[in-house]
Amino acid sequence: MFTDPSFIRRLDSLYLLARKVLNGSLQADRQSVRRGTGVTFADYSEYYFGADYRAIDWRVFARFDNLIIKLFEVEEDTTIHILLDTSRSMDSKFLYARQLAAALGYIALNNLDRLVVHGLADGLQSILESSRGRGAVLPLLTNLQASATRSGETDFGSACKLFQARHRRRAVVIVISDFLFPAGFDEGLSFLQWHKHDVYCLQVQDADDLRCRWKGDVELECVETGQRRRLTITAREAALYEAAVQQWNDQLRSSCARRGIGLAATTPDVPFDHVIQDILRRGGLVA
Amino acid sequence: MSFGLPLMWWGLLALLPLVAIYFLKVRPSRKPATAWFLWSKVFEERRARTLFERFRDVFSLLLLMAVFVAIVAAAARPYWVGDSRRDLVLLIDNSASMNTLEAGVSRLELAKQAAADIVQALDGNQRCSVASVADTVVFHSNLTDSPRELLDAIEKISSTSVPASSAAVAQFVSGATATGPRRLVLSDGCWGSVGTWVEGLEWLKIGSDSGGNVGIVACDMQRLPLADSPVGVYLQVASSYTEPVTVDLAVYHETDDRLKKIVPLELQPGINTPEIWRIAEADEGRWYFRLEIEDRLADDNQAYAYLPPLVPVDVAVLGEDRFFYDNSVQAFATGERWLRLVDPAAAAVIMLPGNPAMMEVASEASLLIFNPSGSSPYWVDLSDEMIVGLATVRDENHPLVRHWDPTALAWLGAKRLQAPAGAEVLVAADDGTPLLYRATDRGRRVVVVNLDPQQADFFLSPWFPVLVYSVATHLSGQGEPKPTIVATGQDWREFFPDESQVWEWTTPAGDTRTLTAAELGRIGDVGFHRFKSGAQAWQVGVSLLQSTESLLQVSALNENVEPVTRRWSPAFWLTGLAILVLIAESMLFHRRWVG
Repeated sequence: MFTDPSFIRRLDSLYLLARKVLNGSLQADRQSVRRGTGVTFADYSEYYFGADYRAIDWRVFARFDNLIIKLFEVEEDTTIHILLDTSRSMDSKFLYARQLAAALGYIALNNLDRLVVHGLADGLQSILESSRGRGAVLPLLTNLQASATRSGETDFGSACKLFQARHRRRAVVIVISDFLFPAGFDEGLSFLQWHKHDVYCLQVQDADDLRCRWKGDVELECVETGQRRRLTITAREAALYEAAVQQWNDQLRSSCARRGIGLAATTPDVPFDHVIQDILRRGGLVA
Repeated sequence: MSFGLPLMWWGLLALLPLVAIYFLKVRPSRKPATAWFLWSKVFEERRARTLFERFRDVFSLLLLMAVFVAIVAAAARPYWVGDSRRDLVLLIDNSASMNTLEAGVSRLELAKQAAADIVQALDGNQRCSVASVADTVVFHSNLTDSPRELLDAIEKISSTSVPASSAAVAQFVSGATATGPRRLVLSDGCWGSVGTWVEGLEWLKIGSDSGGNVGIVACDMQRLPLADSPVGVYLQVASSYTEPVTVDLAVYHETDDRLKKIVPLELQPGINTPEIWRIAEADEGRWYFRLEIEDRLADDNQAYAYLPPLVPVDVAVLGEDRFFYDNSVQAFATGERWLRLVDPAAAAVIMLPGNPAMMEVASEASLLIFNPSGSSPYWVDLSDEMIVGLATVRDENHPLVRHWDPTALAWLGAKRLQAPAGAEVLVAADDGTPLLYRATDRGRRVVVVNLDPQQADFFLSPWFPVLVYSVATHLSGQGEPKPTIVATGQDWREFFPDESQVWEWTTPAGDTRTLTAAELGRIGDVGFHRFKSGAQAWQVGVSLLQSTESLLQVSALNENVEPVTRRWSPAFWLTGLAILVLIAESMLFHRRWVG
């Protein structure tokens, strides 16, 4: 279904919207905060030893007798890493998460950014190797379609360390997950941010994650580890669970806000293109 | 405690599948948890209650097993040792005497109220059955402990006009055993000989002897065999008053405005001497005999009789020498069933000598043939004359030979012959040759007299006209006069010898049904009943005519009813306990399923 013409048309619409909103060109036009040797003037700076002579503004020197150099914005291609949660807890919303990943990847590839998609479970699995250009769209979509959830307990922190070991260069890292990591998410987010990555979080949780709709005697089974336990669920137990989920999500929200990490939370009830459109209209994934 | 049906304990074997089904039922459904680590907080909260939850299934199972055991025990019909509680059959008398009024309420209503009181006293913890009895026992419910069903059955019982039959109850009691159900009869005791068959029954007396009653206990109305055709009336009245009373008996014909006679009666207590009188000019039709008195039982104050019309039997004679034959018909030209000499075309019975094939015979007329000759379907292998040594009468009570003596005849001129198949031989010679027989061929009824009347001097015998009259009335269907009045409780079949004959029966209420005589049953409704079958018709008045019903002797009944056990049965307590435990388990089960 990821290679259906109708689905690709939806992705195309999102890309056109992205071009309009982000006002970029067809070249690798993602603005960078780093200053370098581009063509667009950015700022002035005092000359320092070893600075490029070509950057000295001789007109200022002639007038004020100070060596001032011009700073230009660097125009660089950016590598975008999508960390897609492929743990068993994503079973019920995995299609939706892949649709989000496809949409973001499609926009990135059409912007000539370099794109890498990773599956995130008990380790890192490659869904799309480092690719660039529109020619990589089809491999992206077919690989996403072929990807599946995996058993095993998700350790987000370890996965982030593994990611950093493989990709040392600064990049944009988009994590698509329900963020229901038993070992927590703080360590992973901190680690990515420490290594100067631009981190964005897309939290996908469905109604079964947020609310407990079971009543009476049930046998709970952990979808990742297979652990089982009998429990009688009354309104009190349901409320306890829902409060715990709420608290967990609040912690994620405050953690992202504290670190300046962009976060968007959604549910599969909302069409994925609506979510992307909303993100684009808000100017991207912002903290 | 002991058990009435200990075999029911085998039902406990059903516990094995019950336990299996229970564990399948309570097995919780498996639910996938995406955030197991968040559920762990809930697990921590519930740790204190885990012990109870672990044993809750077993506890619930034990409760269900207790419920099942209680139900099985209740089904085994437990009873306290020494408890005389037994199944009860309420037998409500709905005979005619139960229509007697007691302070404005009939005895039947009092009996039904008493039965309803007993049913309510049982409180549904003892099985009971309801039946009514008059001339037969009719069950209105099976054995049940449902008060509603029993009360409905009591309500269904309606009054009748038939006398109580001790034979019906005796037959009902015949299978009674000491351990069987109690049989309680609610009756006024107007049964005649109560004391002789009271064994096995308990009696609850309904009504009292206060007040008096008179009733017609016997009645008949017949034409007398005289030239002026008067009608004789026989009537007997019984009185339960302790003092002599004077009552007028009014006789009506057809309607109340045609009063024919008033007979003042001076009635003594008990059954009075019969009254006999004549009515000189009595027309055919319905006659009413009514005692002009308002007493406790109205049903026995009136008797109904139907006087049939005078219908002659049309007889024709064929042959050349008719003198004696004509005289024999004319000898019975008066009376109730008189003979009339007519042309052969209009005759019901044709009398002829010799062979009918040689004469013109009306197609539907019955035949009386003397001196058979030639070939005919009415005899076989006819040959020469024979000498009859001794004539033998095979059925002396048959209408054809009842009123004369065939053995006194010489039977001269008798021929050797055989009767056709299916014929009824009434008189035969010593060698078996039939001398007088009745046969039927293609619907025609024939009587053959195998003698030469002239040679035997039979024309000069007084038995000759008697034989002609007997055969003529028998072949025309009027040989056995039916009664003008019958009593309720009798069997209709007594008056219809051929039980397979189909009759159209019109009841006093005007309902018309078509059924065979065997299906008519017992006589129930008082009034006039009409029967019709082809050319035959009979109308008769039905009346109560039963002295035991009219005398209302309640005091003759010995009341021996034992009190009804009112204590709750063990089955009731077990059932109640099962329901309570089931409710408790249901609440527990409900909590496990809906939280």
